[in-house]
Order: sequence, then structure tokens, then C-alpha cells
Amino acid sequence: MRALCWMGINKLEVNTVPDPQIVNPHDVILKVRLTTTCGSDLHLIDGYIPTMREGDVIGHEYMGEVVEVGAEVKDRRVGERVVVPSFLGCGECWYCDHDLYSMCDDTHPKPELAEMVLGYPPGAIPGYSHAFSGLAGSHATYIRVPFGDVNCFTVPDGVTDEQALFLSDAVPTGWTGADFCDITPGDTIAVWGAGGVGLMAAKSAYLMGAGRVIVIDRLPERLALAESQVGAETISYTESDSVLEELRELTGGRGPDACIEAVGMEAHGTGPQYALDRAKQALHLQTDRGSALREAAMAVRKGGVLSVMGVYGLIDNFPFGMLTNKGITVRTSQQPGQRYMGEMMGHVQAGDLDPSFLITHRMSLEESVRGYEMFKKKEDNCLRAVFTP
Amino acid sequence: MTPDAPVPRRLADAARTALAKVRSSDTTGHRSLPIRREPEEILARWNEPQLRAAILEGIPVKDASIEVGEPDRDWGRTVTLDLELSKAVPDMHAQALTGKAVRRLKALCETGEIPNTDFNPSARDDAGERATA
Repeated sequence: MRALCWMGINKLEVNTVPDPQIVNPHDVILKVRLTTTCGSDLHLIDGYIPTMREGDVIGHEYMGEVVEVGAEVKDRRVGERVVVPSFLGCGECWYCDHDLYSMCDDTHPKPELAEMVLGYPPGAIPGYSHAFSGLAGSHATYIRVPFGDVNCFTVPDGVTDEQALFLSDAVPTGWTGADFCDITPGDTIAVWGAGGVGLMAAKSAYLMGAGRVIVIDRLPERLALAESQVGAETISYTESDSVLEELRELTGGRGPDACIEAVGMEAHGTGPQYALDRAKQALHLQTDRGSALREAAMAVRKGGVLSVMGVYGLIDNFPFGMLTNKGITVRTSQQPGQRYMGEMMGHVQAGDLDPSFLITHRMSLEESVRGYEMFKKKEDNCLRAVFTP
Repeated sequence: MTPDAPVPRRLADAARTALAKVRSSDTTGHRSLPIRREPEEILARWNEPQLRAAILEGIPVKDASIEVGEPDRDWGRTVTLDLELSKAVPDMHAQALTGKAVRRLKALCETGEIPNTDFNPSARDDAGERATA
């Protein structure tokens, strides 16, 4: 089959690789129908996430059609259209039993690598380095999905491939971020980042009852989407004298009830702290540029919630005392999409959640190297490039 | 390691390799994990030769034993694995390998299978083959 492979830092190639096969009895093989770029892939491509190996197939946000099932798969059928949350659960361990699928104890094939950097291994995610499983990713003709009954969710008639695709990662990550905010009706939620996850966090916050959602970014086309597709208010941090002052004014001086950070380790920003972040990252003294995270922590009201959905590695300049002195609750996790799938799919079917507007570029898998280049450089206002294998 | 890796990472890799060669051999490990199954089921899996071989695959084992403890609320029973390696494994602490083995036992007992990357597609020469530990 054909697959998009990581061949070194900033080096991607579409190569011919062996097809996946059923290895364990609960496995399902999917023919990938759609697979998309994710901002977190850029951290792999740029070399900030260790334990990539030359030749790895990347991609973790996808949907497809079941073409083969293992001997102990009970509920999935060949020919079904399904969407798969990016982190894989087993459905049996304590974590899955408590709806914490992304922390599953039983899906990671290389737990010893994850333990070295995290203490305990999370659930497996395909296409995202060996410390996160080493499983081949979704930018390919086919993909093996362990525990198909737990992780493959039927896409109902009336829901398009394009809508279902983002229920794999962008929507559940945003949904998780909003759920962490414990929103009560009328709350004001600020969201850093108007990429796929940030826009879905903003939309989710409204669906959970937020009165106001304010999205912060620098790209006019993304802020326009936040306004037109989500109904959010927006702040452009490159045009603002002070995001903090604007948020204070917009909230009557008290600050947002919760702040969702949906940017991650390669944040852009302004001012001397951002310049220092860039310099330290360039010298590999830290992996992260934390300007969005710091600003979100500063902006949230006393006693509020800081919900962190951006992907981080090592950050060495974070004002931790701010959390203590303001009594901030910090919540963060990889998304347990299995927990929320019924609710999210219900909103799609009801017509009040349509994530397909995230697609700005459609192309074949053969064009995916170019797709990532456009996505990384945000060329042609690229928000998400979607590949058809 | 890719040739494009940044200088600090290459230096760290070189240091780790050097340390692996000079550090004192480390051949015993001891790790516990809760397993959500009854003792007889856990022991049956452990005592079945083919399954034990799968649990310890890729690990140079001289001796291995488990002890099944008491239930810990809804976490399961605490199972402790003691492992003695037949030789030190460069770059891999015995504790880490013991942890890997007890996680394989846990996954096998709880789900009936051990997670692995066998026959994993990639653009490498070993693609589509059985994985090594």
C-alpha cells in the first residue's frame, strides 16, 4: 500500500509499504477513507517529539471502512463506515472502565519507552512516535485498529465522511477541553488558538452553555472562521496592545471563568519573552514555546479553570506560583473520544455541530507531502489538509 | 538516531551509549501492577508455557516468578513480578524490562492479547515482520 512516512526531521515521503494485517483477535483493518493533518504532527515533523524512527507511517486523525475483522470482534462488520478516536482503549482496564480511554493500561506495545519520559504509559496512539506506541499511522491506504469493538464507532447514514473525520481528534480534543471547564450557563470562556482544536473547543463551549466565547489568534482568516462558524468574539494578539487588558474589559474586570489553551509547544507570540522562547528552542534548551500557556494562566479569573489541550514537551519557564496564588484549577489530558462519541455524534446528527468547515484543502495521499508543507506554513490559508488514500 | 538530529540530542545519545557500557550490570527487577482478574486466571496464564514465552519475549530471562496479592478496591489484584536477567541489556534498565513484562501479563489477563507492533507497516527493511522487544 501507499503511506506517508517520516524519513527524518522535516523530511516526509510517500512510499510503498507492506499492508497491515490482523495480528490480535480484537483487531480490525480499515480502508482509510479520509485522514487529516493535525497541528500536533508538526511537532514530530520538526523533531521536537523524540523516538521517531526513519520510515514510520504518520497520521492519527481518520475515518474509514471496515475491510477485515479479527476472530473475537463482535460488533463491527465488513463494509461499515467508522470513525476512530486517536487514542486507543482496551475497554477492560481500570482506566477504560472509568471513561479515561486515553490513559488505557493495555494498548501500548512499548510501555518502557513511555515510562522513561512520562512515568507511566498512556494509551496507544498510532502514527505518533514509538514512545506513544510505534503503531503505523493513518496516512495510508489501510490501518490496523486494535480492539475494534471499543475504538471503531459506526458513522450513521446522514453523517458525511467529512463530518465524521474530525470526531476522531479535533472535536473530542476541543470537547474535552470545554468539558474540563465545568461550564455553568452564562460563563465566559477564552480560547487560545483558532486551529481545528481551538475552534472545536469554542464550539463545544457554546454547546455546553457558555454565554460568551472569546477566541485569541493572530491569523485573520482563522479569526473570521471563529466569528462566522462558531459565533465567537475574537482578539488578534498581534493587533492588540494587551490581550490581558482586552479580556479584562470584556469581562467587566474579573477575567474569563475558564481559559482553554489549544496552541501547544510551537506557540507564536510577541514581546521579549517570546523572543527568549524562540532562542531557547532553537538552541534546544527547551522544547516548548509557552507564550500562549503563560498568557492563558495570567488571564483566567481567580478560582477559574485553566484547561490545557495543546501538546507540550519540556517547558522551563512557567509561573507556577500564579496557579497557587489565584487558586486556579489546571486540567489537561489527551482526549478520551470514546467517552464523548455518542454525545458528539448526536450533535452532528441534530445539525448543531458540523466540523467539516475545518477542511480547507482536499488532496490525494500522493500529494500529502505538499499538503503538510502548506499546513505547516499556513499557505493559502490552510487550516486542515485532508487526504484521500 | 537521524543524522539531522540536533547537536544536544546527539551528545545525549552518545553519553547514554557510553554510560550503558560502563555502568554496573543490572540484572534484577521487581515490579507490581493491579490486574483485574481472579488469582487462578492470572496464574493459569502465567503458568502456560506459550503464554509465558510471549510475556517474556525479547527479554533475556534467567528466572522469573510472580506473586498474586490481595484485591485493591476496583483496581484488581496486585501482581508482583520478580525477574532475573541472564545478561544486562544495553540502554535498558532491568526494572524497565520487568515493567514491560508485567504489563504484558496484565494486558493478556485483562484483554486476552498482548499489544505489539508485529507486521507493522513502515518504510524500513524490517517492515511487515514480527517485532522485536
